[in-house]
Order: sequence, then structure tokens, then C-alpha cells
Amino acid sequence: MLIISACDSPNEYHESKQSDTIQHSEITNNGSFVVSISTENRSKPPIRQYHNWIILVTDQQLNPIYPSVISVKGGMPAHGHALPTKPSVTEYLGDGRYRLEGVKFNMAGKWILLVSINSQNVRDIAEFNLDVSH
Amino acid sequence: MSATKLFLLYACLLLSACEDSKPYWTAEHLKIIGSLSLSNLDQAPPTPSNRFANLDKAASFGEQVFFDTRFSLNGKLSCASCHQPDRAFTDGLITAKGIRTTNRNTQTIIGAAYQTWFYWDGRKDSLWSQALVPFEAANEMASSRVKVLRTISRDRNLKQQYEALFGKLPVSIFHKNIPENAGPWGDARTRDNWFRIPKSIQKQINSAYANVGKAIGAYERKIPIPKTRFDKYAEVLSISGEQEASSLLNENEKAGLSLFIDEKRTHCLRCHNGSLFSNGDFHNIGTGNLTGPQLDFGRYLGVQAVLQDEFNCMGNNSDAKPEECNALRFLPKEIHGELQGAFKTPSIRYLNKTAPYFHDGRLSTVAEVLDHYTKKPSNGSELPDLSLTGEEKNQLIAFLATLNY
Repeated sequence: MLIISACDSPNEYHESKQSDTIQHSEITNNGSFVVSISTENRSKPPIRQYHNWIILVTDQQLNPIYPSVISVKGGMPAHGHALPTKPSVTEYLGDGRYRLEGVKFNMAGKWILLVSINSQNVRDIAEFNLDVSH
Repeated sequence: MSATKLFLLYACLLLSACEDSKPYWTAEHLKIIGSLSLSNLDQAPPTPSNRFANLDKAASFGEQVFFDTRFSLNGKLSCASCHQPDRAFTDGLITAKGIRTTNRNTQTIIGAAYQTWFYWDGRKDSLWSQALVPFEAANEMASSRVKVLRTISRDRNLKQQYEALFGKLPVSIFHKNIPENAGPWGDARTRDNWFRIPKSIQKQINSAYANVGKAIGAYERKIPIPKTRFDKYAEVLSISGEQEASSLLNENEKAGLSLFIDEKRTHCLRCHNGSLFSNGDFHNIGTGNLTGPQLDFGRYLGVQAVLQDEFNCMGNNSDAKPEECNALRFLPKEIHGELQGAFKTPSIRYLNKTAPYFHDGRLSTVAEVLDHYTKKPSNGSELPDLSLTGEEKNQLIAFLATLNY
């Protein structure tokens, strides 16, 4: 009986699991800043829903960077389209952390987020490659 | 042979049989199938611009207005003339027909509570603000906001319900200097009448008119989303596994589902994702009419329209705080070519009831729609290349039929 039960179980399905916390860190193109991003609730980014991210900006010694003007653009280079929304940094949370609101992905696949930092007249860009899944 | 040896032999035979029967779906497939199932659809998102959205009494009042023909100019049309319940709230016509024929195909309102944008071009950002348009549109009911409010006030039952929900109807709507055909969207006379009304009274009328839309929106939010054979399959598959589910879809339908979720082969999921098989956004699939009499730029003008809409989420009659209006706050406002001829992705549930297809109803069968995707239009659409054999087309059509009810 034990053997028959094992045979009935759809093995691959029971192995599936939720993605873990996702955080990405990149050094900006010219090495001016270190930028880390994660969704505000630290889970994998949803599809079709407006959601927030937290952006952490430091120098290479990990000292918080403030003030800075941050703008975010993105899209799917392979599909040739931009983000369906125009996200905006709405709040400084302290310790180099900024809240980014209004992010939305409308399909699974490879997305790019370009985070532009302008602090004390130093401008630099960090590029993030994200794999958004169902 | 001893009983123990017999048992071991039987066990070995079973084990080898298990090894031979590979599952049809991988773990990734199962995750995607689950994401398409109605079982995984959350509650409808809140709609902060309508504080009556989840009130049963508002929905009941809205339902009565939805089916009532007295609000139209000729007394023969209601919301339900185009959104017929037995046709999945569509009308079966190429383009909608009110007082005159319009230039767009009627979209279903099943699942509309989950959408951010309304109309094919997304020129409205709430169900309630969308519901106000057909009363006054010259090709649809050709009525006016003053007539709508007066019709409610003349019906004792409707008036009682309205006032229990929203407070007294404004007395100004009965002022002798305010004609019944007065509204900003009708013919020249109707518009002229409207603009002669003092601003302070216009404001009272607009507020009361918005309430009518909010009640209709509350009703539309409650319209059920029927489960289909696909949903049953996905549900059994996730709970009991492939063997139990196998009788619910035939091989052709499963092959079609497999193609549909194959993101490298068909790309269907780019736009038709989630439990409602729509990402709710705007895409250019080469159907825009950028020249000629049927001129229709789609989202290109929809963005500008929603920003100027007096009944949008940030307008005077919205119940939302500005910071709650995510769709407007984070809307890319730059007008660029990508939006020319882009239209909202429709759900592909209930295709048996929602034909004909596309924003102008140009195609009458699912097979013709698939042909559109395989013969990639040359007018700058964002469609990727797609090649399907005749058998694969039939498989996809078979799968799409499992989304019917």
C-alpha cells in the first residue's frame, strides 16, 4: 500500500516552493555608489500589482548617502517596452534608505531597472537585471 | 515462492512502472497553471475613490439603475442593452449600438473589479467613473446627468434608496431654469444648456451624478466570475495531482494548455496572464487604425483623457486621498509612439460569449485571432514572431474552449 501511495503522488508538484527574500546589490557604473534594492515586504516582486521597493544607497565603504535625488526607469529590453508605470521615490527612511513607490510588472520575464543617483553633484547609475516569475 | 518474495516482486514491478510514467507537467508548469486558476484569485482590490463600493445596498440600487431603460433619451436603452448577462455582459455585435453605432466593441464587465483602467483605451480609472459615460454619450443613451437625476427623483422607490445611501438629491435639479437636457457631453444644445448653469449648481449636480456611478460600480464589483472546466482541472491538479485531474481535460486540450504556457514558443502569457488572463495593460498588436475613417489611436489619447477626466481618482467627487490614487500618480504622462494603436488586453475567458474580437470587433472567430498573431502585422506592433502548425492551432483553440462556460 505504501508503494501504491508513493506512485500516486505527483512528485514534482510537491517539490515546488515559494521564492525566498530577494535583494539585489550593484555598484554604480562609475563606482560612486553601492545600491541595494528589495521589495518593501522583502518577497519576490508580484505581477500586475503596484508595489514598493526600498533602495539603499551607500558609498563603497557602506556609509549611507543622503541627500540624493533618485530616479528609476526600466523595461524589458528583449521585448522593447518600458515599465508600464513611472515609479517615484517618495520618502527618505534614514540610514541611506529610500522608498520607491509605483513599481508594476505586467508580465513574467527579464526586466531591467536603472536607478540613477545624484548626490552632491555626483551622478551615477546602477543597473539591475531582475527575473520576474509567476 | 514464499509470500515475502512474491510481495517484493510485486513491489519492484510497481516501482518500475512509477519510473516509466513521467509527469506531464513540471513544477514550473504547475506554478503557472495555478497562477491562471480562479482558485488563486484574491479578493477584488479596494477602490478608494468609491466609499460605497462594497455596500450591498449601493450594489442593489446600482443593479436597478443598470437594467432600467428610463435613463436613456429614447427610453429603450440601459447599461444592460450592451452588457447582457447571458452573453457574459457583452452584446455579440461588431461594435456597440446605442442610439447610433459606436466605433468600439463592447467589453465584458466580468472581472472588471480587478482592473485599473477602463475602456479599450483606459480613459477612465474607476468602474464608477466609467459607468457615467454611456448615459451622456451621444451614440449611446444620449441622455444627460440632469435627466438621470430627475428620473431617480420621480421614482419614489429609487429616490428613497438613493437618499438613504447618499443623502437628499439636490433641489437645484428641479429649478425652472435648468432644462432636462443639460450635460457637458451631449449635442450642441445639451452642452449649451449645461454651460449656462451656474458653477455652484453644476457642482451639486456632478456630485449627485457621481453617486449614481458609484452605485453602478458597486453592483458591477459583485458580478460573479464563473469557474470553467479549466479552473476545475487546475484545482484538482493542485490538490489531488495529475491522475485525478487527467479525465477533466483531453489530450488535445492539455497540449493546447502546454502551448499556451510555453513562454518561449507562443508568448501568450506576456499579456494574457493571471487568473483573468489579462495583465490589464496596453499593447500594440497592430490593430490601431491610424488613418482613415475608423481613426483610433487607443491608449495614445486615453492617457490624456484620463488625466483631464473630471471624475478621475483625484477629482472633486472622488472619495480617495490623492496618495491613494496609484494609477494616476504613477502613470507615465509623456505621450510617446509606443502608445499609438495600443489597446487594453482583454480577458480571454468566455470567448464563446464575447465574440467578435479586438477593439473594433474586426474578427469573428478564435481561429481568425490566432491567424492575426501568426501573420505578424507590419505596422510597428510589438508582437513577436509566432509560428504554429495547423495541429497546434487546433490545440490552442481546444484549450481556449475550456475557458468557456
